[in-house]
Amino acid sequence: MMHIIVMGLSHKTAPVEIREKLTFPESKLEESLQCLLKYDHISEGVILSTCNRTEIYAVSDDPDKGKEDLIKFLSQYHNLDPKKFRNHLYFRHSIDVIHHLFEVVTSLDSMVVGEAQILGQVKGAYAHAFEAHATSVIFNRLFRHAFKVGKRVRTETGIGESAVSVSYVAVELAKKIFEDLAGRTVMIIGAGEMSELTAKHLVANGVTSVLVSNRTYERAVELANRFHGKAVKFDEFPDYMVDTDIVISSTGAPHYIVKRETVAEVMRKRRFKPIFLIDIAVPRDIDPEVDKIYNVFLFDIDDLQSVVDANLAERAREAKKAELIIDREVEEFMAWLSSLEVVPTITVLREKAEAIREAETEKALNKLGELSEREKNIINALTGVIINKLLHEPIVRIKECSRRKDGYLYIESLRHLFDLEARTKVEGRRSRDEGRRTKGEGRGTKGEGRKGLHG
Amino acid sequence: MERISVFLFWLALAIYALAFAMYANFFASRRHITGSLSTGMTIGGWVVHTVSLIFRGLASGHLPGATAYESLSAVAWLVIVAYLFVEYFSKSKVLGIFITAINCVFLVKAWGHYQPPGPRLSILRSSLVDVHFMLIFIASAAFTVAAGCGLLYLLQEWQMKGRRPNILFRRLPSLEVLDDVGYRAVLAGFLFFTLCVATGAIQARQVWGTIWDPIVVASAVSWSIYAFYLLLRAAAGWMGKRAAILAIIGFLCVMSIRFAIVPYVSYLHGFRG
Repeated sequence: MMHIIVMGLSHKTAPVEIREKLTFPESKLEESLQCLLKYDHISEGVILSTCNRTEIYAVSDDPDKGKEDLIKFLSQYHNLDPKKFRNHLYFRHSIDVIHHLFEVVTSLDSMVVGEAQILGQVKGAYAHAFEAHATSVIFNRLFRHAFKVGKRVRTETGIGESAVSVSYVAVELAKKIFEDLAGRTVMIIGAGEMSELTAKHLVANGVTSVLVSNRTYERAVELANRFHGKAVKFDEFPDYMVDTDIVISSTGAPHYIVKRETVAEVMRKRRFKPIFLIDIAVPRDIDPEVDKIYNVFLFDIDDLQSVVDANLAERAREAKKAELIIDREVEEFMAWLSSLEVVPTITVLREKAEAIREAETEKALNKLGELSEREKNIINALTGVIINKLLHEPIVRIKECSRRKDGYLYIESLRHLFDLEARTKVEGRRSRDEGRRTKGEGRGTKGEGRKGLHG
Repeated sequence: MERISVFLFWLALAIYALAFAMYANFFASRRHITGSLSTGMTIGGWVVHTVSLIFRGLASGHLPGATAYESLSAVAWLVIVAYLFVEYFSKSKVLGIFITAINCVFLVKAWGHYQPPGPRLSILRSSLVDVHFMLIFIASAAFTVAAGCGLLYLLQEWQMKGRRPNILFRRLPSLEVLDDVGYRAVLAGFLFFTLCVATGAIQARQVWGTIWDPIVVASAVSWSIYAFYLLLRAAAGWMGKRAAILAIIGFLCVMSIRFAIVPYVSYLHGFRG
């Protein structure tokens, strides 16, 4: 029997002092995986190591011993007493692992729900494990399925859609006013950290020219150089506003420095082309009355924060949708996983053989024409014996093999060789209603097998 | 022939209605599949609709447009053409909800005026009239798209100014795109509408000897609204909310010509002959 287990620690269970001691550097990941596979009860493994989590996924023939192996591995690898980190670890087993992995890959388990990096990180972790031949049938399927789920959640829910930091919200809003930020001009008034960050995001999203205006001209020049932009004298910024699309203001001034009349004049000069004003200063730099001027879009820090809050709430709602998708996908994966159990595989194999036997016997009997009941019985018995004898060895051996640590490989091969894959889905469902019926007959089926053996 | 046409007419209507449901579903769920389905169904409905119009033309022996039923069906058909261009270029499917809905309204309304195919009134048997019809159909389709963009613009700006970004805010295209698409649609619509009014005036003088009729006044008002829109835009660089409002008012005027003046008020111009 195989079991999927995971052991891990994350920002939810461990402080950074612990997490930083238990990371796996990417460059040595393949070596680490080789070490992991040397443990007796581990047959497949994937190590995911990011700054917020370290997780080891494994396929094991025994969940408890596998768990012990994982702890041993982690402690030996990092040369750390297990007592020091044991309390911070979490373990999951079987279906919970799949659920957990799907949550990780869709970022539901991340510090910021909806962040986009984790999917790539899990992909990297899997790629390393694949390269190191640390994955096989189960993890190849599981992780590829997980990536599908990750992608599905990203496209079908709005989980990563809306910005959740003030500076990204500014970019998001800018994109809802101007379709394309390429070729746009942004002006920074007051060289502060926050305005610099926002400008950076805007530039990363296509804004091409940056103007910087500051009371101390030298600082303006300094910041402008960093953006390959242009410094503007502080008393001249209204002139430059005429050709600017986005203004970020964050001076330390105690009063409004962008007045209503100034903006009204600017708007007249720019023939009321829309302008986006971002006021992140406290106290505010831009007179709130400015917002009433036609085609002026003014957002202060509270406005931006309220958008952030709304977006966070939106993400939480979308996360619920993602949960539903995950539940369905977990179910789908479990259906496949349970097909790797030995008993249903043997049942499907027998059913397939029996179906062929019946059909072919029927054809032959039709061709033979009139036969006595006794003759028919002999033919039926003969075909039955052939089938049973032929299947006897593979069935006995697959039962033996299935007890080994990598036994599911044999089951997978058997399914592949006899083309049982396609049948599983339909059969799986059918055999569930038949399951109850065959329970009583269960012994009968076995008896038949034995009869074949003696016959 | 006509039976096939009517059957296809209803089939097209049903497909458009489904497309509307898909657009709405896509808007709410963002499922990729419903997104593709919505556009696919719109195109499918449009193809069926096209065949329906062809059969109608074959049955009646002239271009579909001489009766109220035919003209509304033709406008609806053109609205879809215009919309599909907009969807392709703006890469946003939100307008689809509005367009497929209004398209269904057009078609249901068209059915309300259903008449079996037949020869046109003698007064309408002229190639100038055919041109006149086609021009107004194209103009109507363009104005419909412009009004749709205007409506979405107002919604989007309202959300922006009110600092209430919700699902709608995220799905709607940017103000710039809505403004730009609306402007292009008005420009195209205005061009066709102008030619339509001109051909109408020529025809009216030839047939009736006079051009004075309520429809002329109504057309002049609509024309002025769109002319005002374009003038202000060119002169003052006007864009935004006021342009959106003008596009909607203009659309309402044009629709009132079609749905009030032509059937009820006009002495000369109408489908009743």
